[in-house]
Amino acid sequence: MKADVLIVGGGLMGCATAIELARKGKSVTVFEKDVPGRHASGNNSGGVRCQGRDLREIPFAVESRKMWDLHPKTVSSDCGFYVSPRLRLAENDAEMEVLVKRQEKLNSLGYTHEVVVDLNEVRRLSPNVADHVVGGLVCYTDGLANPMLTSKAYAAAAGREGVQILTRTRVVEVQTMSWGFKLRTADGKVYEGETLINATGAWSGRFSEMLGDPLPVFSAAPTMMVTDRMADMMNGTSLGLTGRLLGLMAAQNGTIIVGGGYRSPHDLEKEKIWIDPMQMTKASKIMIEVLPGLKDAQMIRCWAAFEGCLADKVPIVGSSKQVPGLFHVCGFSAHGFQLAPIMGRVMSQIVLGQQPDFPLDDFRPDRFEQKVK
Amino acid sequence: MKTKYDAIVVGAGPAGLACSAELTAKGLDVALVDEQSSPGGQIYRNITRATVNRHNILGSDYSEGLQVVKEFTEGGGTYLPRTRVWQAEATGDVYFSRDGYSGALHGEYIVLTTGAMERPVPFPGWTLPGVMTCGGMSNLFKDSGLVPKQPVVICGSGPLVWLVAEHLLALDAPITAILDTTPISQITAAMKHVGGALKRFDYMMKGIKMIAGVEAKARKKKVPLHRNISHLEAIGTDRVERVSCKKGARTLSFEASTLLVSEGIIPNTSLLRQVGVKHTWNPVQRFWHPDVTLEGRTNLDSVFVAGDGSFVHGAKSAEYKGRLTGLTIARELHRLSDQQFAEQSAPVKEKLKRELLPRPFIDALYAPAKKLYALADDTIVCRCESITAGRIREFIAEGYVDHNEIKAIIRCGMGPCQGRMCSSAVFELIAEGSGLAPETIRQHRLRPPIKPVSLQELANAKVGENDES
Repeated sequence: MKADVLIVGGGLMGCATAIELARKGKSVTVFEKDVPGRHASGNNSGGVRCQGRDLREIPFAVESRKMWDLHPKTVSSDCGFYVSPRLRLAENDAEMEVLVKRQEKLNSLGYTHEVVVDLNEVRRLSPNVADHVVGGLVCYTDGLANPMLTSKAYAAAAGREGVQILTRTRVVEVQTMSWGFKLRTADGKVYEGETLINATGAWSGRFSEMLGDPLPVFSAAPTMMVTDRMADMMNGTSLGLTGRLLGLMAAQNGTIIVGGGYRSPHDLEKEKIWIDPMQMTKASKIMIEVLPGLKDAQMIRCWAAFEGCLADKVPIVGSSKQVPGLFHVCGFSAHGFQLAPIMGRVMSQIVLGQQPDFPLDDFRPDRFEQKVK
Repeated sequence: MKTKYDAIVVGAGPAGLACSAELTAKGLDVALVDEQSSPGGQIYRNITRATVNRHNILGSDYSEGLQVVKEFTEGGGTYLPRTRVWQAEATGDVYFSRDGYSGALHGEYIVLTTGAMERPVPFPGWTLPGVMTCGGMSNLFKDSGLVPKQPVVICGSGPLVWLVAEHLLALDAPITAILDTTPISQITAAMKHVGGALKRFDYMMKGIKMIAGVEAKARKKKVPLHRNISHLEAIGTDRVERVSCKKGARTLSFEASTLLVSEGIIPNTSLLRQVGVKHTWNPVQRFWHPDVTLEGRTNLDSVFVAGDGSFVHGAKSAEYKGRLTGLTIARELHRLSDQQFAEQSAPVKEKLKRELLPRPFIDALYAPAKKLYALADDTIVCRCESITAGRIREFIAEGYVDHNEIKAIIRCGMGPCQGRMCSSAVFELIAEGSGLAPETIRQHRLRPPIKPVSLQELANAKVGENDES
């Protein structure tokens, strides 16, 4: 079986890339070992956030945010998106200075989406924050979406564009040929294509080794939690902190989704995650300090998903320097959800040999080798 | 507080008590952890504090539980009441909340004796105040002698229905109807197992006597008793006011301010699933049962399961299963030689075997009727999030066949009960709508904490912090 482009990984990055390529006339086959949305794409915290991103990602995030509004047209679903301003709190003057500097830096680069706000505005946005908070930095256009719905909408849209999505189909062998690639799946079938895209998320470190282009992507199990309904506690505003680990997302139903970098031990081979209850105790302490009213809240559930991470916490997006015809889009380090729409677009551009909308130099696959030298 | 033990036993019902007693008798260090404030589990709930009058009403089957409580108490094992376990791991770690703080215990072995729960079956009006389970009613009586003073209807299938009817009749509660939903066809189906059951003639007679007693007393008190009932519905605005149902083509209606329902008992497997015990679909009980050997072993070396949590067999069987598990762990920890184990376990196995003789008959007779889950589209399935059967069917029609995915999108099973009340029904809806064989459908996953824990309790954790990764 033949296609122009073979994409391994049916998560958001794989499907976003597939949709764009199919719309530009390419035949695409997606190989998904489980089902779309089984791992990080469908089980992340749902934050659609520009706030607080690494500067290297900002141009992409700002453009991507516009694309989130277009989802009803582009993927025939709103993906459950709604605006919930993301307010990053300063808990002391030193942190406030960090936030002021960040805004100055962003402004100097021409970005105005993050705004320093005083205590009055903090209290207007989030009336229940603790007394020690001194100010904040807010992105009014940030929001939340439903990751499972988004993953399924992307997969369905890809299907409508003629992309062949092979679910429960594991790629077990890749051969590099003079004309492209030969893939063998666990059921013994062989697929051929000129171009190969690695969008295997948590598995992309391992998969890239199989391709002869090893990447330093390591797996992690970001751990999220959710509280019972706490009506009016968040006032629709999501919160982050400047000096400590915590992200509190104001879900529309009144529950609070807790994220912000908690991790659990895991075994990628056995696909098993042991949710570390200490993460709950740590998060709870900080939550009560920041929103004292949460002492009456309950933790309802934790969950975790496999994600691919890199040491410098920005992804790998680009063509392989080792294997011609191979492209990577992986290692989003637990904040790729918001970036999926724009990544699909720039990936399709570089696969077609076009200039990407934004330079991808910071995300080069070989950037780690250069550091060693 | 001491945190390391040879074994942590979760649940102080007959299985947990017997298992802990066996282990302490062998000189092992055991902590028995339980949510309630006194030992006994659900079946022997509040047994050490119940009044003589309550013992008289509940009968000798209840009072017999004092034996195993005494055996445990005199054995001197550590007993941790009012302690809610919300996560366990195969490493032997058990996480709990107690008196406003959370903490961790560690056992070389953990024994999960989590008991049984009533099979949650949605029906129109089941979310109305005043609707509760027969087991819930039984607990209220055991705890505080509470008896309904207003009109009450009892409806369902299984021994618990007759037991609660017997108690409420004895207590002169104003019962307006007793409704048995067991389909006639199942009586015929069960008859092929009657031979085995009759080997426990005493047991069968007890059941027959109980039902006959309820029938006689109901007749005397002019309480209507109907069989082969279907289409149960609770009707009311702010709480249940009437109960309607069908008997063949006839519609029956009764006044009620309390409706007691029971559609059988299933193992309470929340903690078992969270810890990673393997489960297998049981097509007769229409439930995922844990894979547990007679001696309590699971797929996880350090995790044992005993009592009704492995399969509902009743209080005496639970006690025997608990004993066998205790003996097995004692052998693992070299407190019993193989020969001693064989000698001590043989009589327990013999008693358990006898106790299990009538089960195939009872299980066939009271197997969940398939039509139980023939839910109307407007019936609420997920109580926490008010999701109807119709809404779930829409997603199944779109091709969703995984409760976990449906949950992530429309939140059924995402509330505080973590799907305890809706997962059986959602599973049946998926099987109905997809045509897939039930055993091939992905089970609903459980994540810790299996029960809500307050943030304050978590923040007050009395455990060391892990290194940041």
